[in-house]
Amino acid sequence: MSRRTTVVLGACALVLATAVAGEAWYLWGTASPTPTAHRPVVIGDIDAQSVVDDAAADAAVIFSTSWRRYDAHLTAVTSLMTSDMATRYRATAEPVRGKVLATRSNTVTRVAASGVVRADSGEVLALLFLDQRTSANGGPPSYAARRALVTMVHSDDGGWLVANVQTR
Amino acid sequence: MRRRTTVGLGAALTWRTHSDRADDATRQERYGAVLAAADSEVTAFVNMHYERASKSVDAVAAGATGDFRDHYVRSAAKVIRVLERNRSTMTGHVVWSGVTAISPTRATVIAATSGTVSNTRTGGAHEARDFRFRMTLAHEHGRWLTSNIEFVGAAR
Repeated sequence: MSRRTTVVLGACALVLATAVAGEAWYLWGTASPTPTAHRPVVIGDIDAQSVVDDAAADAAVIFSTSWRRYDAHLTAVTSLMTSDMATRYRATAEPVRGKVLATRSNTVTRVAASGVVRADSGEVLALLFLDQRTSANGGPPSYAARRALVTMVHSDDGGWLVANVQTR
Repeated sequence: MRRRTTVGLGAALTWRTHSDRADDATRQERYGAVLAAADSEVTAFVNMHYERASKSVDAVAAGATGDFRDHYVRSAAKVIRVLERNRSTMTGHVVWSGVTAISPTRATVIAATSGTVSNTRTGGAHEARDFRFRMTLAHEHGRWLTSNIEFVGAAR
């Protein structure tokens, strides 16, 4: 084999190796997209909607309380949350326990509407419109129209947990 | 030979992946465009001033389409009279907005706003007002326009 042939074959091999490396980088080396204002949802429509549905179902359970089952409810709903969120929730729920029991309060929460605000494979922000009806001492229920931004995070076991709730 | 086959298969896979990513980018950008259009329309809707009533109404009409726009434009004179008579001022901003449903041609968005209202009934005082909106949008001539907007009240 002449020296010239060797150089040409070597060059071809180098080009092919570079092409393979370039393809590999494009296929596996680029990072997953992160949400921006321009592209706020970077997962599939069905995946995003599914997590928003989970957020709506969890919020309806978390914010529906009864004086009869207050402690059991607190234990049950914290399993829907991350440990940080559960700690914060307990810290806010326990101080109002006495008032809820004393006034025999029941709160029923329904989700009037829901939508995805931002989503990637690890975190989804869901906007929820919550209708809350609270009755105390057997009286007629009062109504509150609330708006909540619920942050859901992907847990290690593959499910989604409530990591934060903001209301305004 | 094996190396050339690897490159060929890789090229096909890369082309397919590139095509999928382009589709994903288009779909993902649709969310951003829909939310930007919805936020703009809701912002116009919750910012009205009796001294600039005509301009306020025009801002809403500019982002609207279909029956909603027709109805709004037909009612404009009445809306302006009510704003001026009551010396109404409404200010507000979008706190959060989210997509409920989306396709290449239609979308449904919900939006939460916070702001103030003042009029003759409040004695000119600015009272806090939070609203919940549901709106439908249609993609027309390269723009997302609002085809309906409604307040979300109590669910039955």
